[in-house]
Amino acid sequence: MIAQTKSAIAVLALLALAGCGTPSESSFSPNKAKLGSLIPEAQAEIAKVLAENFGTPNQLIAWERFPIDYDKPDPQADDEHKNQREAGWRLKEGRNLYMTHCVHCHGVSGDGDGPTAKFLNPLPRDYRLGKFKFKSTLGPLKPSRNDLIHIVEQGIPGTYMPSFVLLGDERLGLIVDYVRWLSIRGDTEVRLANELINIGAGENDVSDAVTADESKKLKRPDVVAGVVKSINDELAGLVNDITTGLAEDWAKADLPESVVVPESPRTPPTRDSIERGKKLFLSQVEGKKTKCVDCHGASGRGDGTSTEEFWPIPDAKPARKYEVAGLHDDWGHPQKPRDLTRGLYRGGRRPIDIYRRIFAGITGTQMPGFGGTVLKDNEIWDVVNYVLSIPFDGKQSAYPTELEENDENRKKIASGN
Amino acid sequence: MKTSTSEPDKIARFWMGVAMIALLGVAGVGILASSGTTRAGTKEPIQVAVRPDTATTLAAAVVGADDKGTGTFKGVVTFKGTPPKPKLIVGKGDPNQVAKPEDRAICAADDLFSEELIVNAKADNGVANVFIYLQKAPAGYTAPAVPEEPVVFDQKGCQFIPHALLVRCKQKVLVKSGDNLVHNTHTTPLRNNGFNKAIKVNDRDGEPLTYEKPEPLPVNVTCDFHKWMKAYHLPLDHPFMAVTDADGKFEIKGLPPGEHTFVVWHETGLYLNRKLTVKITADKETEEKLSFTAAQFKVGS
Repeated sequence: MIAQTKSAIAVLALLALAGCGTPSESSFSPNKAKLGSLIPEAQAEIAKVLAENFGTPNQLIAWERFPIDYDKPDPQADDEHKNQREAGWRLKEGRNLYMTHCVHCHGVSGDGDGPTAKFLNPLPRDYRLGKFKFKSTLGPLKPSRNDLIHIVEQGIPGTYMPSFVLLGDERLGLIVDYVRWLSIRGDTEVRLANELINIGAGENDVSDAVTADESKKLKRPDVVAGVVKSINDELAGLVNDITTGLAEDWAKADLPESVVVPESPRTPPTRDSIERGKKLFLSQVEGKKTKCVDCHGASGRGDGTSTEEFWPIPDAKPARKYEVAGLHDDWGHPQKPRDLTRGLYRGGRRPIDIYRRIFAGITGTQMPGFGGTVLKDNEIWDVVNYVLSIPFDGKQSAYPTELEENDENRKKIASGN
Repeated sequence: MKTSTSEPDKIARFWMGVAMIALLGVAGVGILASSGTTRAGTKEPIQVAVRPDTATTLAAAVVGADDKGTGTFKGVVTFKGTPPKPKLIVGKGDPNQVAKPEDRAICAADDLFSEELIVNAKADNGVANVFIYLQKAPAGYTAPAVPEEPVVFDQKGCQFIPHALLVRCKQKVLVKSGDNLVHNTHTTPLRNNGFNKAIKVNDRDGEPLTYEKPEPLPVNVTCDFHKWMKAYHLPLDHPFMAVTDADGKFEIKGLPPGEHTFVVWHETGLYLNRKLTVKITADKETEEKLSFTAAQFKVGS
């Protein structure tokens, strides 16, 4: 009975979704936020580049420049694996899985703006900036392939991103490779838009050039023609530089030396270690200022003074501030520093996850890396132990490294020490 | 909790599923269909074209200009009209409470003025921190090896020093601090990866930062702990770049003879001149006096 009702609701919901809005061809939508300031002619050039190099959702182009395994076709594949007889079959399979499991939040073009997205907070990741927050690699690097598989497998606690562990390893890999391909596509679009603005293809630049001409003879079509000529001269080189650079960046993320690896194993989460971590967190150690409190608050509730200030929009010219108080991420969305009292950590709850957040910072946010500069290895572990103890009022740290240590802590707590 | 579904449930689900697919097929505009999945009502077959990675060959290098001698481009950038007064950011003792209480002793030790537009009335209104550079090395030019010596990017009294920094790609920038508080250096480049690291108290060794690729325009640098702190880095893959000094003067040496198109960029006015074409002659100095109005600097006078 319950199952019946559920299915009925599902049917109704799908009908409702299918009924509203106009039916759209399966296509990648342009990055309006980024392209909006360009003249239409420049936008058309970018659309052409993307279509030529990446295709459409139904006619994908598996460009071998990128470090993505599309796999070779296997003409001898048996009937059960007949999809593998085609070239680039892995990208197609990844796309099919993405369209089934991911598209309703992350959108056809990976813009984080699928039909469900508007009901979610936090918003689904927009892959097109090429930035991913929760990863094991050093500060500014792309995530490794395994990092993304880990996220899809585990989900992101405290968000709507569920675990897809039941899909199994093979299919997780296919999805992640398609996501990496989508990210490279979107990143290429963003970077091209930046470059064309730099060439003078911005709507403002064109109107400025017209008004700046003192002879008043220069008309908009002349300026546009000049800009289009510069674009045509530069475009092939720009596309080459951008895509080669992105291929290098994604390949680099998978190198062993790109991963943040602690010099020493975790310091056991003893009371002393927790206490040392607390002092570091609160900037109470002379010569070891940290500023954790500015954002996360003295009690770790994520309510530091930074959350009440009005922040400047980076790169906004003329300089202006966000209309909403508090921190914003690189996507321009308001974001809250993690409330550490709840024990929900988006990038994972293992001590090594917290270690990597502190060491390398969080890409796309204000959280800076403290590793190698402000905090030494053992000091980061102390802060990890303190952070993991905050949900337990500092009396114990979650996930002790050894059970023995755990017993020791329990005895201490039981005896009231 | 049941782990297996009972038979009637299975049947119900099956028929609901059939109904769903049928209805979607009729409507023809279901999400699954419109996104082109193989499952429901797609007409167009999904195809993947594999594209081999044939590198684009760019125009080959032309001729070296080494044997022809080189020229110099120098000049001065000035402010036309009455310059605006410098903006006070943090007053001495911080009466407006701009800095955090724990940082006041250092950040508000003295009056701290904005460095976004520095005009020197004593030097004919020369404007400091204007970038003049070639976006691309001249055709056929081979840049000299990247200097081993790092450039220093320091922080003192809650300001970056220098405010405008020139650096070659792959050359090391050492981010230092002379303040007894923690800073964080946060860059937002267009082509390179960003850098966001906390810099420890009185860090005299410095934290290395390297730009791999040339940037088309100077990179924004901020400190999120002290939001007024601003600086600009310009990494290029050749040495033809300059920043005006306190008198608004600049000089670029070693230019191959011929016509060059310089960019003149300033943080408030942005592109003061996108295409400043200058003819360089061997063993000669070409001088330009550049003057821009308050409107061009986008500031109220």
